[in-house]
Amino acid sequence: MRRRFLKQAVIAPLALAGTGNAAASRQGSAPLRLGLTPVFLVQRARLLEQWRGYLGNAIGRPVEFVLRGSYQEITTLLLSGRVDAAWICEYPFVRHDDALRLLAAPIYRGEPNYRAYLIVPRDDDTTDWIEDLSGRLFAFSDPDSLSGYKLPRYWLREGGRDPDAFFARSILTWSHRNSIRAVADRLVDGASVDGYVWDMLERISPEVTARTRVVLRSRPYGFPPIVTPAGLSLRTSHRLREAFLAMADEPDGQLILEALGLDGFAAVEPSLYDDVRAIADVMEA
Amino acid sequence: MLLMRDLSFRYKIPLRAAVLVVVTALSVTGAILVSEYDNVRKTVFASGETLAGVLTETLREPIRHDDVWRSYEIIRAPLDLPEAGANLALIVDPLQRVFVSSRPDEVRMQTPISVHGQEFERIADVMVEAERGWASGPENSEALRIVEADHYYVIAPVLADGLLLGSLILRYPKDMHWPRFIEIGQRAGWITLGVLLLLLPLSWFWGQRMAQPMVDLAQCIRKAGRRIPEESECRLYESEDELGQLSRRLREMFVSLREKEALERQMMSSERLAAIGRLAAGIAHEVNNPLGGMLNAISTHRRHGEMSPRTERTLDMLERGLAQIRDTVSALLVEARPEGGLLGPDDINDVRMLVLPAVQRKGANLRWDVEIDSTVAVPATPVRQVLINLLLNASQAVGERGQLHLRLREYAGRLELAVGNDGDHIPAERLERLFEPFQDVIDGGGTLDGGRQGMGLWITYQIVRQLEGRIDVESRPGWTEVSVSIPLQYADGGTQ
Repeated sequence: MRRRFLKQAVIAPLALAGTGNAAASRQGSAPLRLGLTPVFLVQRARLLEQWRGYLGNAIGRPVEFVLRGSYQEITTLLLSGRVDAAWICEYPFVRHDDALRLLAAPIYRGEPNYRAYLIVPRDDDTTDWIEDLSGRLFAFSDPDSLSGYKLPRYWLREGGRDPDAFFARSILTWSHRNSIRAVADRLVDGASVDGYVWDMLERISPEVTARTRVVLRSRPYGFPPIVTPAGLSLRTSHRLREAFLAMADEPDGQLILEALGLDGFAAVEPSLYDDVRAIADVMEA
Repeated sequence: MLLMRDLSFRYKIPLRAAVLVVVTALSVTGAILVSEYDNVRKTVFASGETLAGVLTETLREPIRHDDVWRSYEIIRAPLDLPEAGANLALIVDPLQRVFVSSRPDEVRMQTPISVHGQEFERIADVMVEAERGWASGPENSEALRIVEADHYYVIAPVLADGLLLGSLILRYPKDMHWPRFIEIGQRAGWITLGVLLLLLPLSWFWGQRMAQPMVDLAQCIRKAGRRIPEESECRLYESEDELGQLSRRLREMFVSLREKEALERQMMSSERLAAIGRLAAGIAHEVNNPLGGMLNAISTHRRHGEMSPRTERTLDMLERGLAQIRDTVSALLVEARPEGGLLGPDDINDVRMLVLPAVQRKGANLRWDVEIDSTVAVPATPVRQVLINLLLNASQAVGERGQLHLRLREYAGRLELAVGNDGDHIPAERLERLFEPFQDVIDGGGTLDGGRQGMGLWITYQIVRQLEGRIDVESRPGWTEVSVSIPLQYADGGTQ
């Protein structure tokens, strides 16, 4: 049993690589590597596979998704050019926007914005604001996440609190989805998460979100964008952007967008993230 | 309980068998449950240690990196399986605070474990000691097994290069035994019921078999309260066991009681007969003296007086009447005078000649079974009279074309004779007074002894008694037999 399992585990990546190689030899080029972070539900493997196929067809070149445990790792790969593009949180983007090129941003509920949600367990009906959670347990998603880390700490700093001493204990869950679960299981007393992820999870696993209560929806911030290293060839960059932008017009693309819960992708100006930049300036000071 | 004691063995024995079956089933089930309890406990600890071994390995890095979420996911995963058994996993830091638990709503992280109930209070104490051992060297990483009131605990250290990072506590509820216990109990219940269904009729049958001889014995003894029951009335158990011995003793007791009863009856009857004999002899003597006088007077008057024809008739009448009284009285006063010779074959042939006409009148068949071919030392006259009386009685009693039987022989110094016939048998109540005088008259039946007004058997009895012999009557439907035994007499006149 264990042997067979090991065998499959070994074969599966080979098979994936095999198809990738076949496509590569057909197209006569190496696959395009696209880094993904948990700014959305990266657990949905079937959806990712459909999307990968779609993008590969659209740009006429195989696409390979690169997943890592933290935002930091993807950012490092991006800055060193070991991935050709990535869907990252807007906070690392504004921190490194001199080395990155903004490709597109998702359109969610009609605009390229999302909100951060402050959530607590369902049976907590007293908490109104993050400062009510003083001396409690809190879950952050990733140290490079705006909604899952920087923003709640920013709120505390704005309120004159020391974010490092405010909670009795804070943990890192490495994804918004885990933070939602940590609150739902009452492992922690609160968390700040990407509102888009919470909405999506409510659609897929309502029994988890039902155990949480959204205390606060933040003002809108620019949605985590698709970026490429500044050094990526303009041709590739252009083809990739076109592929994303065209998704809303293609039936296959619409199916994927529907599954992602997005309206589409749009070209946006870097100024969309000025608010985030302002926060980053405060937090890094 | 009194009710149980009063119950017949017929029910007591199967009931006891049933109780025995139930007790056996209960004790076997109990033994299985105890061993099952032990097994489950061993299994819990063994699988708990295996799980703890895997988890502590996996947890080492997350704990070192202070990664609560990954630790949480690692301990949650196996406990979410339905067959996990454990209902709580905890990681505790060396200060005995909860690093993370699989049920954060029950056991919050950062809390000291001792606040989570008495069981954890004791565990905290035990762990202080254990942690010292674990920290002392890599060879001391044995997991702890703890049995508390409601739970089993397996506690294993998370060690990194000999440094104690924390401990993993797995908690198993004790009531996880229950479903298995209930299942075993139910199965045992069904098997017991099956065995009972099988054994109850069997033990019922055995009980009946064992109890039946006792019940029969009890019934037989109950009958003996009123009278001694006949052999055929009691169904007694034959064997060499205690019950068989008891039955045999009872039977022996009944036999001797019956014998005693018969003897008493016989004694009463012969005493009565003796009294009657004495009374009769007394009356006869008293009557005979005046009677002789009266007869002499009549005779004298006849010889010397002149009598008118009328006086003649009167005297004749008186004389006949007195003669009849004399005959009757002399019949009562039987005397077996040892006159004449001893009994020889000729005497017996004479008897045959005398009774044959009476037998032939009935068309009956007389079996003459005589084993005497020479003189026998008994007086001929009274024995002849006895033979004639008995044979004539028998030929009266025998039915048309019936069977008559005479057996006569000398045996062991006695003359044994028996006269039997197949006529109507004599009822028991009559048998007792058979030999008393005037019985036929009293009973209102016909005379058995040829017109001598019921004196035949009385005379026979008196003769046999005077010859110091014994007379018995046995009468059952279809056969009546009178047997007489007379001791032989020798030259000195005495008997042997």
